[in-house]
Amino acid sequence: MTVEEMRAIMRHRVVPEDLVVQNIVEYLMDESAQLPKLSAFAFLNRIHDLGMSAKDFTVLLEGCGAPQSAVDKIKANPAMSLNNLVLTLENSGLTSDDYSNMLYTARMVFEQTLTTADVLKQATIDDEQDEERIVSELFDDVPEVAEKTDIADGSVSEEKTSADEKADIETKTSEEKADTAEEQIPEKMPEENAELSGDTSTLIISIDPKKLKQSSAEKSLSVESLFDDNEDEKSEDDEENKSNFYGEETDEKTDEKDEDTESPSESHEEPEETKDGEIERKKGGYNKPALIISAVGACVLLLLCAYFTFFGKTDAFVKKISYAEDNDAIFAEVYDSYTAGNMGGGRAQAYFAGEKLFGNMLISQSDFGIVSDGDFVYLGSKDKITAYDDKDISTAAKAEIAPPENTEFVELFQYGNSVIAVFSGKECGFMNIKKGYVNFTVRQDGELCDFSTDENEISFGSVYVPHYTHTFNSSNADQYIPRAGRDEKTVLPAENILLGKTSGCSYAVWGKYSLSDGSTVLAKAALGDPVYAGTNGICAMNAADKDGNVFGRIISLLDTEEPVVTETDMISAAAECADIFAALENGSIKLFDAQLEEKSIRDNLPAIPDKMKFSGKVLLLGKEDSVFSSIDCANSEAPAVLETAKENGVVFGDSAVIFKTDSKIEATLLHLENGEAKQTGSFSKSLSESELSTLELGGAETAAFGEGVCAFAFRYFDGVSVVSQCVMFGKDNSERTLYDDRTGYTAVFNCSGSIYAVSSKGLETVFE
Amino acid sequence: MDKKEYRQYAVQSANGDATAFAKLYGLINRNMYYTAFYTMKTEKEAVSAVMEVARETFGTISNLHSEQQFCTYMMKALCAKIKTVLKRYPDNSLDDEQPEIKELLFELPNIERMIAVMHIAGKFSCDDIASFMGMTSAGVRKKLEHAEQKLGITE
Repeated sequence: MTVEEMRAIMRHRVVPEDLVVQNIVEYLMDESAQLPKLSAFAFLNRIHDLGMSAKDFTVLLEGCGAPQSAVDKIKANPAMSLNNLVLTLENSGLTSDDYSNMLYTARMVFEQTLTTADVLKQATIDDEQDEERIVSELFDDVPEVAEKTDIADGSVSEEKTSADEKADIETKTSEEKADTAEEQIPEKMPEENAELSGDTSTLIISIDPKKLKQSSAEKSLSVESLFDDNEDEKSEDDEENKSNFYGEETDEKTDEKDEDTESPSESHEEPEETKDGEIERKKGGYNKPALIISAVGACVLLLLCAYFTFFGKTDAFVKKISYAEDNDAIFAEVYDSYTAGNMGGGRAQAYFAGEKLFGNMLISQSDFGIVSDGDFVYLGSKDKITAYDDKDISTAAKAEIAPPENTEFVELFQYGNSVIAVFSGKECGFMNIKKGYVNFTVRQDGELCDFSTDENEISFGSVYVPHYTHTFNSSNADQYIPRAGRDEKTVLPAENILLGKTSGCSYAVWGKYSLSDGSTVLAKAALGDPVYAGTNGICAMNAADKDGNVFGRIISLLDTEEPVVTETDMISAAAECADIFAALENGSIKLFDAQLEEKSIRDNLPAIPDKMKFSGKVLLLGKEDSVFSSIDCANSEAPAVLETAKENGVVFGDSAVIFKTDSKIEATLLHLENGEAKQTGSFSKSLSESELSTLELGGAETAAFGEGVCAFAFRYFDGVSVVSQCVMFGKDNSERTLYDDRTGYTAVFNCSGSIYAVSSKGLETVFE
Repeated sequence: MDKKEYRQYAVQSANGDATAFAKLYGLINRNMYYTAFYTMKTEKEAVSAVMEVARETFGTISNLHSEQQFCTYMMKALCAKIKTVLKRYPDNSLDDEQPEIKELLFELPNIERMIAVMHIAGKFSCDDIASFMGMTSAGVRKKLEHAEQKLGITE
């Protein structure tokens, strides 16, 4: 044996995982560090580092016993992206140990290839002195090679003999330890022709001697061509040939394909099986497991090259927008965006109450007012709802209801004999409150963009930005899928999640729920970079093409089969009403109908809104929680600016009261008729300047409406006493006055058609 | 790795950058492992020796100005470590199942085995090995010839 041969044997040993560069860092930082378990991702990265091609990879998987379904899936999709590949592996049932074993096999092949390359390199230097022999064996034209086969074979025999003798040292051990691959692999090494590219991490191996002629610059042989050759061989090989794991050609094959005349190292002979079940070759003994394990390595070895499809070709491709087949599909898309740092949802338009449009007036209202369920009255504020027994509202509150954690109330209204409190924040939804208690809570992931109600249902559009953590992977992907439902949220089924490569891993969520029992009527979501989710199943998103150019996408989720999609310029704000969708693009507002057909463009806006909302069919343009302009979109093809006046007051359904306190107290009762606010009553009270300066006018909590009447309370100092008054005006008039009352009138509300006023003295009936 | 790149990693390593050190370590880790594995009785000992050397040298290489110096430094440290372990061996018998080639190597005396392994598996020259072992080149050459003779191998 020569030093070179012994070196080849010794260097075939695979460096343990603990000592590889990728893992040593951990040990350097922490002496007690444990070798991390290989995940699919880490495994793929390591395989990538070895420069393995996609097809080699499938061979490796198959050879190492990966589930066939996973292998088939990978084979069927050669352009599979990394995340899909991760997903496929993770779902294949492969364990960390399996990855380790496969990596070991791949590394073994990689390292032996390095060694083989060294041997060949050395051999090439040695053989330069025998140019004629090299030329005849490797570089001559095919016919000539065929003619010189005998000569070549002769040299092969010599080489093989020495190689096998060398290998026999190992083989004896191998036979005893058939389960240890590393001792067996060296046996086949001399049989391979391998070339080492300039970069030692990338190997190009060919079974075609002619290819050895190529210069280093030409060494980037197509893996497909190599693999195709191999596949051709495979398809042509009979059962007997299948035992020739090296993809080398049998004598018969050589006859058929002169082009692929064996290289010196390829001419080993067919193994024969002994009665002991051991496979022996004419030169050197091989056992079956050794051959099988060798085959895995050999197949991989043959196919190693610099081209790694899975990693090298991750060209973005725009998928058709469609509903997800399963959670894995969602994970795959999320993973894409997540790893690219595109979380999305950054431009989401949160719900804003703003001013309430009443006819041509924008009425700002400071609080939610007081509503009643018939038994209790509720005073709502952002952070709590206080329930009082309406028989004695002046006594201690029966209950205080807080919104869910990290949310605040945004609206409170009566529904039948219960009260609905809408909240928004980290999540959105509503509480059905009855008799001072929360009957049930419906929650939907994401911050509220808008909500709407009809007779018995309430719809929410929200934007959900999942809080991804480092443990994010396919096994816990459902934690990052939107949830919705009564009391305990449930994950939206995958088939209700719309996917479509929109460069983000946030969701536009749309849910419709029963107001009476909280059941979910429908809940859907669209993945991407949402700006707005409407209440009628239309959402606005931004997406990016492969060049990073951002564009807008309006998606209608209404149709379960085929979502309607329209692409626009980048969207910065949006709003939706029953049959109109408005999107703000480049400072212009585009109006679309329910089928997302563009109806008109409105530009020359007085200012660029940062939020929009519809009130009826009037589009309110908002900035910093205040509406600055309104556009009447009743005719969506010709939207017109609606001149509005801003007032302070209280709106309750079709009734409103507006206050003016410039020189006296003025209250005007309005009723909405055909979209126009008509005055139905008024009240005024003159106050001196000093009295006006102390005037405290209550908001919605001290205003109530009855049939044709309005009652409201106020307080001022007349120079002698604190005067608290509750006045009712409209078709009937009345007035209650308290002097120096500790609290004054703190609440005025309507319960079952009667209007009550509350003070420290208790409940007073103002109107029956 | 060119000089500039080497210097960059060396400086980063000296500043505690484990990743940079690992890059340099990657230049020699295979040879370190082969040397340790074929001269020490068990793989566990070999892995432990290489890891200990890596840890001990991490952050101490700022004055090594070339890749060659770095590799020599690492191998020196490893040889010292291996020698310490070898001294504790009562004999040269291999307990665990080991590759047959290792059994063959363990027929050699410890120092000869180290030299042979470094030359054969590590592809180090006699001069290199001499610097690792603190011996003269001639002494290394002599022991190597002796070892090769015993192993029945030729250059």
